[in-house]
Amino acid sequence: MKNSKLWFSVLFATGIVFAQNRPATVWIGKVTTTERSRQLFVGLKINMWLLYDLPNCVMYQAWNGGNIGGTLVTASVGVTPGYWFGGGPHFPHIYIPSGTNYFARDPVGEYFASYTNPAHITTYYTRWPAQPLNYQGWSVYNGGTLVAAKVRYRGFSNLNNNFQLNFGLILPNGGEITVSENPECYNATVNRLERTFTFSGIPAGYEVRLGHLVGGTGTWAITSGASAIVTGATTGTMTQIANGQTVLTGTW
Amino acid sequence: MKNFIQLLPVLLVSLGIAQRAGDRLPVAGVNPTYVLDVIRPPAISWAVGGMDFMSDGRMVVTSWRDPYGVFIISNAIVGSNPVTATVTEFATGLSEALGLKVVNDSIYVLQKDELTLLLDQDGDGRADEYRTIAYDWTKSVNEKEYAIGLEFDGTYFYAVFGDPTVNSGTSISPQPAGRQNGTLRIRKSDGFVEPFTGGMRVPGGTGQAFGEIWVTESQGGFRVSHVLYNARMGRYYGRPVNPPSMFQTQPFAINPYNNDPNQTIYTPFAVNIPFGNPQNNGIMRSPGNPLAVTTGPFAGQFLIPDCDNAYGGMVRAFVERMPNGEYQGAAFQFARGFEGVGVFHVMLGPDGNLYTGGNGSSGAGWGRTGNVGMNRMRLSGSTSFDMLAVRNTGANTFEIDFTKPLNASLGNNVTAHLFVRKWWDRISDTYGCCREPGASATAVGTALTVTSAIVSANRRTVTVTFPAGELELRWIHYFRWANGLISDASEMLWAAETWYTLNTFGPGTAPVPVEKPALRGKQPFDMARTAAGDLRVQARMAGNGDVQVSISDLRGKISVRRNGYGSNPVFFSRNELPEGMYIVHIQAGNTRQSRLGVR
Repeated sequence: MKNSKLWFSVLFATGIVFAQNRPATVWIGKVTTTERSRQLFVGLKINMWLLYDLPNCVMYQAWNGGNIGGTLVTASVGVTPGYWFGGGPHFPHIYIPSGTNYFARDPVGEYFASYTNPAHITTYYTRWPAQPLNYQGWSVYNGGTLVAAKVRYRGFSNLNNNFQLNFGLILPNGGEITVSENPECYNATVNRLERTFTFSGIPAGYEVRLGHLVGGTGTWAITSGASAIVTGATTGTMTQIANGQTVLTGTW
Repeated sequence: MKNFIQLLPVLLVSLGIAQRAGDRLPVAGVNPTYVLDVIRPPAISWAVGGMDFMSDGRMVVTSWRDPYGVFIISNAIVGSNPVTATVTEFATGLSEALGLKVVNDSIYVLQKDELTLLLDQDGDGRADEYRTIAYDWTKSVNEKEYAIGLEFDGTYFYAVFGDPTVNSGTSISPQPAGRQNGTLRIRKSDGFVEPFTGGMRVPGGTGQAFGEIWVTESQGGFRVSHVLYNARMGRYYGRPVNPPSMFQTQPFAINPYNNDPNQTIYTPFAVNIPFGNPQNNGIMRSPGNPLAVTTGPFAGQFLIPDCDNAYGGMVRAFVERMPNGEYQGAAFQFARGFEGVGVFHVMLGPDGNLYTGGNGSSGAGWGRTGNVGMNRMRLSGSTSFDMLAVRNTGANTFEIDFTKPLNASLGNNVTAHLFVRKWWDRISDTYGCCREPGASATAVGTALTVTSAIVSANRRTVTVTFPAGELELRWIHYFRWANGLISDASEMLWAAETWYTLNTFGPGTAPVPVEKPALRGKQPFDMARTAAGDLRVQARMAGNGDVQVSISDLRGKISVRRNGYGSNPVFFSRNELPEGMYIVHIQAGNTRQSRLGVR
């Protein structure tokens, strides 16, 4: 047993077991889409590309993107919302995913600097009412009561070509629930997206929830871990009740 | 007759009638003070964003756009055959990285939407962790919300941020809530972001000199000229947005400044750098970062790149510190002839030379693709015949220093060689509007009467006197030397013109290029533990300057080092502290002190 631990440690360190082939040289990239900046594409396989909204740390789109995944275009092609431009950008600037979506939900909530005057946010939403004001992807509950936790994006890693999103949920008392997500795609018979979440720092009696799960044409299920989808298989909320790993699997 | 026709251009130039290189035309090329080397390895074929050096001489550069990455160039780049340096891709998939800073050999990159620490955890030479340090600024999908930097003072990073302009006079209204068009400072220890200045449009770069932060910005709406700011906490620089950003002292209004050059709504600029080509009373098209050079005849002055590919090159700015503590000064043409023409970034290399990167602009201003370039600027041992400094010494007088003595044949009064005009910038929401009085691009403003221009005994300084009331505060004063003003070696001025921004009357004092640090008192620094157990070290300095703080075990083996600046606190996390007892060492200049600590 001792030797096998050592063996796996060596394999992990050298990347022999875990290194993955990805569809493109640049398979992780920060982009601006038609609706939001601070978006990150991740190309796991040619038939599984993902988009994350980083300030909210949520995946909101997956698609069959082929070898490229998407392209950068200028505002002049007419795909950008007119309200932020009014003049042509100097260079291709907007990322347009190319291919068939597995799912794609509406834009998530806008991120405003912490020093923003709240009245200005009201002005913003008065002008652009279609933007979601009270969007909440990740949330924390204590005994069934919502806690005013804030999402804090902390970056990502791609060690051995494995992508991991790192973030925290900052509690009002300054404590932090740390979360990571490792997505991986398997497509022997169906396209299967496994999202492995690792939680730590969840205080006793607390729950961590991921809302707005999106299904598209597929299904979502908890395949392991201390979690459950509580309001339906395709559009519900994942509720995590203890530290540890949970695997959320979508199939198409 | 034939001889006369052949000599006519020379005659016209010497009389100051014809334009010549450096006098209402671009300077002839590289300033003779420097020798220019082309150093770009062929693998670099894109626009350079940020630059910095590792301690072993390797250069780290970002590509502004495609390929959207960070690259490490081997230390052959500072050697005798720099084009042979190897280039390794270190990070990819970034969001328009226009800022970079290496701190203790860790690479921090400023993307448009976050400050990121790039880590190579497995040692394969490529970043495999993109650790987000900070992103607490509003960022919409607008292309113009640039983020440019990056300076570090030992505690904070400084970067500047543009507003969502749309190539017209104003920004989009309403702008994204909370967007700060100005400088932000970001605490390295925890990523805390804090607005530092406001009222900026499209910044060009940041610098650090004389213990202060400096910022350049591009001409456009509410900007008649390019400007060099001395950025200080809480200042507003006159570019309004709606809803207002932090420090904004005026509503988002049309032509808010009317016809009053003495308005106090916004902080005056330290140096106005006139927009345009020299033929059109300008010397710059699109500024990069301000670098205060520390060696050579222009030590203590700024060199500011111009990334425009049609004109491009570099300008020079002299500043003096006035009695009210503010800086003001003059701009000069300085150099052209860089590879790729346009230069976006300039920085001091580990060998004392200057290194530049081009931005690939093939048209006026930002964003086009085209030529690229990297150069090294070495001091040649020669000095151009130039105006070295322009100082206001009172309500009616200026002093102008030259790098070389004036020719004895000129006599002691050179009034006939000097032409002076003045105007003020009426900033408004009209793009680039307006210089007042006078709309003519070539003869803007009002001509001044020069009472006298008297040469000093060593023939290196001219005292210029004007009639009472001729000099006006908040006006730009333009000086041009002609009619055969030559040095003792019969050289004509490399750059015959200068533009001085007169905000307050002098005399001022010369800023200290590098303030000499020295630890003060018997207890040289303060140490305290934070609630989280981190160690806070704060030097007691006489003046500002670089500080090195290190921690060792009791045998003196160093385990961690930090660079600091002045009396800004330096932090060590609890995990960095050795178990049990340890020694904190602090060094400033040649002074070193140590104290004992306990984890």
